[in-house]
Amino acid sequence: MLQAINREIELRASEIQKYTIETIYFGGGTPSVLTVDEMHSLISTLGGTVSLDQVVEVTMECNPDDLNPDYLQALLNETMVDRISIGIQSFHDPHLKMMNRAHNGAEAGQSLEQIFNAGFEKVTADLIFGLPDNDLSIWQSNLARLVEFPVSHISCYGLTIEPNTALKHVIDKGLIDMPDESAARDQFYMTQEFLASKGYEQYEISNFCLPGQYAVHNTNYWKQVPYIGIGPSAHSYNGRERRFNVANNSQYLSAINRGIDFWETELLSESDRYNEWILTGLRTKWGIDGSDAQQYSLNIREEFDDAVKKSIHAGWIEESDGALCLTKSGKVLADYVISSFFYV
Amino acid sequence: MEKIRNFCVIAHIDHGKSTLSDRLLEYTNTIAQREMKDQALDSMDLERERGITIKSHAIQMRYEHTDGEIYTFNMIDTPGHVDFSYEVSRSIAACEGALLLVDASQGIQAQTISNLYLALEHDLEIIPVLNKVDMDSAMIEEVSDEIIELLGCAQEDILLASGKTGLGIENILKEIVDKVPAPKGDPDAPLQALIFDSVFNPFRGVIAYYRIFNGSIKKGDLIRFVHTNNAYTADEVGVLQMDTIPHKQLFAGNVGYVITGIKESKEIKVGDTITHHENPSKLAVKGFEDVKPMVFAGIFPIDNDDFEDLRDSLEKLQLNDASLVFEPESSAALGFGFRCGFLGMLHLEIIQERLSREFNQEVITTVPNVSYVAYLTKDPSDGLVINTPNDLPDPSKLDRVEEPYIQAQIITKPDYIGGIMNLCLDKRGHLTKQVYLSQGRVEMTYELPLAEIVFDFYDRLKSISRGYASFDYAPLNYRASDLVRIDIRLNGEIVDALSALVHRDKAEYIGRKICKKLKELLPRQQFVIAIQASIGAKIIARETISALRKDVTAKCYGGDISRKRKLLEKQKKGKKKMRQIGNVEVPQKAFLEVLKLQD
Ligand SMILES: Nc1nc2c(ncn2[C@@H]2O[C@H](COP(=O)(O)OP(=O)(O)OP(=O)(O)O)[C@@H](O)[C@H]2O)c(=O)[nH]1
Ligand SMILES: [Mg+2]
Repeated sequence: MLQAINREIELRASEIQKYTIETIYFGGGTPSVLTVDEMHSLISTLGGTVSLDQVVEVTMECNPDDLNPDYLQALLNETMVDRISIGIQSFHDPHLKMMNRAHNGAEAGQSLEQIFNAGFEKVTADLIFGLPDNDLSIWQSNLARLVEFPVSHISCYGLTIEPNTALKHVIDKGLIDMPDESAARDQFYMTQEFLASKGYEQYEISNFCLPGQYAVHNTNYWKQVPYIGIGPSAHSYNGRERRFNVANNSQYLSAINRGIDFWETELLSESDRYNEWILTGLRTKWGIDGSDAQQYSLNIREEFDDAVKKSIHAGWIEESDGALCLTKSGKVLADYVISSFFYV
Repeated sequence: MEKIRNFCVIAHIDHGKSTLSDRLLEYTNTIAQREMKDQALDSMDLERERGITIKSHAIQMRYEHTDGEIYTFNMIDTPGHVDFSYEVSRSIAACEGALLLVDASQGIQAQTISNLYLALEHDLEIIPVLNKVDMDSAMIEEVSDEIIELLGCAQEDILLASGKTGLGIENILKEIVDKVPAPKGDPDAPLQALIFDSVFNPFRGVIAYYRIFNGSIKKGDLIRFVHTNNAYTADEVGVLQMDTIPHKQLFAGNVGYVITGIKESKEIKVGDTITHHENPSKLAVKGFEDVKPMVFAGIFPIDNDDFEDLRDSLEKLQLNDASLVFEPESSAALGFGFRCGFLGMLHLEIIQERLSREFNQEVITTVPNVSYVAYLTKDPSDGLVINTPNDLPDPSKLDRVEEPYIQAQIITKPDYIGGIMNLCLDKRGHLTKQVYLSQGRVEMTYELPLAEIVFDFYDRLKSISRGYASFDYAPLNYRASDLVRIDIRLNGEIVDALSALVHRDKAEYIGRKICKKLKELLPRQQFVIAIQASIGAKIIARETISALRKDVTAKCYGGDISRKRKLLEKQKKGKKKMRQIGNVEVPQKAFLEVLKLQD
């Protein structure tokens, strides 16, 4: 696989060289199964293709169960990785079990300790709320436990029940109850209040950070900055089209080996780009600047103004310094509000 | 005239009319090989997508007979679905003969019989064709016996054919010359041509299709429609092939078209007779009975401003579909719209779909109902026609209400008799006759309330019989009925467009089902929505839709953005088709779906 990924970098060299690389993100599953040497070789292939001088953030996604102090130490000292994203999800064992996680609550805490002991300063952790049988106190203790560590960045995701998952299956069988929507909303509100009291700023619906510690990589997604994704299931974006590599590992490998296309592309229409601007912009604390709507050659003036008026009236959106931003009650209904702005 | 043959192709649905027509067109080189596609005459997108014929299609072919003579064939491919039998009856009026197709794997079915009778009423020469004999499941002997029994014909009269392989095509063409009588008529007599169909062409206006019984018509003639008494110049006359082919003049016995610049539906009526302005024919050709709609439903624009456009579209559609009827109506919930009459639920669906595709009109179709007659106590002999729930008078003023009954023919295998009897019992029907057509097939005759069969009957029949039952019906009479109106309230407000007329015995059950269905169909909003069904002031069922408390996606990075955008775009599209009633958003399809009680 590593070979194939290196090969993809070579194949796309001219495309990659068009850009100044600002961030690198090793994600999608468990890149932490790679040895430090392997990480090193991957980064040097990239470095041989394009200059990495301007890189300000190199993140690696990890699971609590595949970390150890030596590994972390080597990662920080011998590679460019300077930021860890750790999939904590919960400190509560029954919930971890429900979500089929390999780690338990104690291990989650240990892994955080190890990360900080190794010397990482940029650390983001994620937690999941809105689980079945989840009461407010469990959620609060999760948050409280996490902020005992000096994590600079926190992502809190509301659970979504995806089709064809084990969780969906047990819910369908009636073994556990569907998560309660009001409870999830209350937990969302609590997250906002609690983390604010600890100095974290909610700069995107699901993302919180200590002052200035935004995830540069993720923030770029929301600002329509181009990116290149390498590897199976990775996606790329060049401002006009989005490209999806095949998700299936063996298909990816065989396509790379046989030199045939291993991706699909989606050309974004004007309305697609407009809708994505709304979708990503409104979710952030920076909001959207209403006058930017005119940059899209769509006949939307009236509809846009109408949607703004309605959302302001409903208390979902407020205008500050020329930007339109979701309010507290707008944030829990973000999808609802956003789609009302869409051009279809 | 001796060299003309006019015939139609009739059969039960799906027995292969359009496919066999393809082969005839191919054999006679009416369609070039490279333009050939399956069911070439099904030219509407909707027909192609659904794989059924919706509209009759007339086409002319030239055939060289074994005697070396060239014959002109005017063929009309007809639809098989019961909702479109009006298309069949109009086609029949233009012909002297009919190919009666029977699917060799299915045997005689309900519309085989009903369409045969339509043809016999007009004294058409019937050529029985046992079709699809290429199939492994073809039962050539049994089905031949059934045909012999039905027609009283001889074994040799039945032609074996396959529209798939082309087997028997030449034979069919030969038989048409030999058996179907040449048209009669006097080309020198005053013009008498029956309009059997019309289409609207946005560039050329109305194109009328006719069969000339007497006289002739030529380009430039001043013609008159007997019924509307309007006179026009025949700007173009010609015959119908895959395109319209202009001719100088057409004579008695032939089938053709005329373009006169007519743009409005009220100027022309299918079934009318065309004659000359000077030297007119004294007699009109016997036209068609006006269609009797079976189901009524309101059609309303999603946006009130589109009312006039909708009227315009319906009028244009009427030019293509003579069976559509409508009149203005208004609803407290939906504003101004039209009460439309349809021949059945499929017809209703097709009209809604055509409005959307051909005229870009997104409409709301309200809960359908059949037509009732109400008698008031103050004048118990004078019936009021009730085509919409809102017209039902207050129960205190009512003497009685009558509902339409139909006679239904159901053809099935003996195995399913029990299940079908239970279904018909549930549908308030009673069995009047049961005869065996052959050992393996039985015909059951039922009297049923029309209201019971238009909704949710056919699907249940099909599932009970695993597809081995066909069904046809004809209006019978009106009978007294204990009818009530179920009103639906959303957050306390009655939504008149959701009201339904139902038999009292079923009111509670249906009321509960409607509430349940609405609960599934209405999107959640930021407040609780109470759904209630009531008869008068009495609440008979209720459901609650909880408020939307949280609607936010967690992750939105990279590829999530595209997925999420598509999802929300879909939601927004759905929203655009919703109608705000009070403070509740009701999706376009909710009105039609509420009476689909099956699932
Ligand atoms: N095997 C076989 N299949 C056939 C034959 N003729 C038609 N079919 C198939 O039967 C189906 C119905 O054919 P159509 O020609 O559309 O039938 P139809 O009678 O015109 O149907 P309606 O116009 O909707 O009543 C299609 O799937 C055809 O491919 C045949 O001779 N043999
Ligand atoms: Mg057909």
